This record gives sequence, structure tokens and C-alpha cells, in this order.
Amino acid sequence: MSNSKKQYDYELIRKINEGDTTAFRQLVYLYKDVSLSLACSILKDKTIAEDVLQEVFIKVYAKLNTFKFKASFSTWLYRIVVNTSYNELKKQKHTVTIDAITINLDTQGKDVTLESDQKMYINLALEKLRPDEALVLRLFYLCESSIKEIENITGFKSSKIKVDLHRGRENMYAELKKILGNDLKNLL
Amino acid sequence: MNEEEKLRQLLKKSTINTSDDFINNLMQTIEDKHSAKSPSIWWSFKTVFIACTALVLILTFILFKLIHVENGFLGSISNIPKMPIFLIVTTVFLYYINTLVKLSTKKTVLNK
Repeated sequence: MSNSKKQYDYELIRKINEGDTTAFRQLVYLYKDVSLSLACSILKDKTIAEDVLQEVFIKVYAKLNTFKFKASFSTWLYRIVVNTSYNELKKQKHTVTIDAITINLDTQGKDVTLESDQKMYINLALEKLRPDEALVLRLFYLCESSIKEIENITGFKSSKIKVDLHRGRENMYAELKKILGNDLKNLL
Repeated sequence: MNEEEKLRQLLKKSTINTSDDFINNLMQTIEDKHSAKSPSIWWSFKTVFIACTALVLILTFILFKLIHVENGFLGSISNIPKMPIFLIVTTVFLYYINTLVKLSTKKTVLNK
């Protein structure tokens, strides 16, 4: 994470701690989508993930004055997202399988030129992965977190993270292959 | 582009967007929680518990003294009718229970 981004976050946090709710709105705006993506990696259900995210941001608002400016805000936030999502997953005791909510996809002739379609296929593939694999992949490639940061966020050991990354990559390609067939090459 | 870079590009597209009213709903919930202000120190569960317990104990002590003491320091006030004191003790005690139940409920709601 760049230093200017970190500084910007710190500035927002300082304003929020002084009672500026607009700054909190800005902070939520910056992190809501990536946080939702992480929660969806674990919960596999957007509606539940959004509810969890509401809970997360309420917690963040209440506990922001305890935030130590030593670490980056994103690491702190993602740790809360991951912990709350896993707790919710335990409560749910089951995950909604993607098959239940996926539209029926033919294996041939997909239009993968549109960015919205590409996004849909990628997310479909990610939702088929195990929560740990999807989470680690998103943290590593989407959030650009280092292995050390992923350790801090998830509490996983670095060896597990590396294994999940390796399996995640393979499984993701396999899922994309299943969904797109020969059109996969157009996506890459 | 190597495999690693391809995957990075792919996963950059995996962001899931929140619903349009996500921030508004969140801010509304936070405002609602904020407006359900936490009770002041004087109306906190602990303070009310300690104050009411002390009051009930003092009143009970006075009541018992009025019943038993014929002379001495409290003997001079033994002519005060005992029934009103008994009613005050009972009322304070009931008020005490009622306030504690209310504060306990409020605490649970705020914690949710």
C-alpha cells in the first residue's frame, strides 16, 4: 500500500475520531467493495455478506478510536471482515452452493469481451472455490497483500497460505475452463 | 504477459459491488444507534444498583429500629408511624427492581 494512501486513511480516521461522519462515509466508500468481495469469498452469498459488512462497519465506527496508527487501516479492516465472516459461516453451518443461485450456463459460445461478463465468470469460478482458497487469492491479487499481511489478516500460517494460493490458482483455472470451455483463451 | 500477471488482471475484475443504498443504510443504522444514547453515569446500571441497595438497607434498618427500640437515640422518634415507613421501603424496593430491569433491557438493546 502506498504511503500517500495510508496517510489519506489516517487523515480520514483522525477526522472521524473528531466526529466527522462525512469522513466515515468516505472511508466506507473506499473499502466497501473490496471488503464485500472478501466476505463473499467466505460466505458465497452476497446478501449475507452485505449484512455481515454492515455489522463490520458498525464495529469499525465504534472501535476506530482504538485503532493504532502503526498498522495499515486496510489490514485492520480486512481482519475484522474475515473474522466476522468466518463467525457468520460457523453460525450458518452451511454455505449456499453456487449451483443454487447460478444461472444455467451453456458451455459454448460465451461472450467474454464485455467486462461485466468477464467479471461474472470470474466471480462464478471464485465462488466454486473453497472459502480459504478464494479468500487468499483475492487478498493476494485483488488487495495486493503480501504473505505476511495475509498472515495478519487471516491468522493462517504462511505455509497454508502458499498451498491455498497454489491450489486456488489451479482450481480457478479449472472452474473457468468448466464454465467457458474453449472461450477461456478469450478471457485470458 | 506471464501467468501470474494474467491471474492478477483476472482477479482485479473480481470486485463485487455493494448495493446502491449500502452506505445510506449503514449511516442510518449508525445514526439510530447513536440516538439511542447510552444512559448517563447517574442512570447507569451499576450506580442505580448501588444507590438503591444502600437506600433500601438504610430504610430497612430505620424500620427495624423503630419497631424494636423503645428508648435511646431512636426511641425519641419511635412515635413516628411505622406503616408509612414500611410503604416507602416497599415503594423504593419496587422502583429499584423496575429501574434495574429497564436498564438491563436498554443495555441489551444497545449491545445488539
